[in-house]
Amino acid sequence: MHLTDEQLLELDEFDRLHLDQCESCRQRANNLNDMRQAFQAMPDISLPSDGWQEIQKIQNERQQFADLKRTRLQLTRWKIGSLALAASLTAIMLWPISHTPSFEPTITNQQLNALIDQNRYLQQQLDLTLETKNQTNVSYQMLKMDIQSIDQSIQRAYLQEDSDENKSALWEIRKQLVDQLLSNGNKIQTVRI
Amino acid sequence: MASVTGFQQQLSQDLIRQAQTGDMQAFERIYQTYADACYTLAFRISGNRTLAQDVVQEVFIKVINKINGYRNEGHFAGWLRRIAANETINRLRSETRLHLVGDDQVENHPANSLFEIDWLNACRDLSGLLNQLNTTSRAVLLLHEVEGYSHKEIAKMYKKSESFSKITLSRAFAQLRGSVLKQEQKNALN
Repeated sequence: MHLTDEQLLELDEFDRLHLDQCESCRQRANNLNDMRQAFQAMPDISLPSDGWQEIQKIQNERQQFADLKRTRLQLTRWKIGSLALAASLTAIMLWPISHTPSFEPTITNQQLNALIDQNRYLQQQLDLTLETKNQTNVSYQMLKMDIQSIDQSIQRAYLQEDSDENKSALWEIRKQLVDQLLSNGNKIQTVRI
Repeated sequence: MASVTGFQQQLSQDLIRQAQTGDMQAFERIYQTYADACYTLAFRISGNRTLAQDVVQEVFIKVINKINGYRNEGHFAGWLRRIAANETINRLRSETRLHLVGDDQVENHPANSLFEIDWLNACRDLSGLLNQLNTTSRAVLLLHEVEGYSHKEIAKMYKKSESFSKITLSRAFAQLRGSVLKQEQKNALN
């Protein structure tokens, strides 16, 4: 029984054993090999033009587009963060109306208000910076998430009527985080919350 | 001694590592080495110069973005060739130039008559001969016979069975033989 054409085209172990013993099939396999060599000897066709510059251009465009998408996403997240700050400030404004502190504060209202004002000012600076710069590094992203987290803690502190010391500590941490974002986006030190 | 060309060329591991760090000069070296091989593969399969140029462009953009996925397992050229072959087949599929023949649509031919003589020896224009095949037959023949893909790999590319690849290949050879013999008869009469 001779090998079929299909078997010759992709030999398995048993087919090879058969070839060793069958002169007729071996001849057919040799013919096929000659044809393969003819196909494989076809020369490469040269590209009509050197397209490397074009590839670099397309790659750069796609990279810029990806960066732009990322920046837009960051801005959206940051807007959410700013809203969280606004919510914190609203909570502060409403808090004195319905609540009277039941303890003697060790930090004055004036100090706390000054700290809040400083935070508000830094936030404005940061919003301006974000509109002009493209910050994409991981440390920067992490720091922004820390700020969003501290905003939630501040809101909680007011709603749960925490002590002024606690609130002040939270505002201080927030101030440090925004300070760091403003001063050096690439060499950010981690502030432990 | 014939010089090494196409996907047979090999690049140093150092150059690949450089490219993996994002070095664009290293990528340019890779491009200069394999661009013609990619173009040849895409053009021979598709028979379309514009499509082949687009394939080359997309292949090297993929190489730039995915080179860190190359794990130094097997030849780099083999990895690159696979990207080029897949890109070509996918483009042909998306442009519906590819006539995917169902297993049940393929005609049979005598099972062991294709290689009794080396009929291809009489052909002086292999490229012209290949162009007489439909795109699918040409693609399967080139992938199997020139690029060294197995039926299993080709079936995976086409998302078809292995028998699809086997039958398409036999059928392509049968068609080529028919064309060559017809041409020989024509030449004999002239």
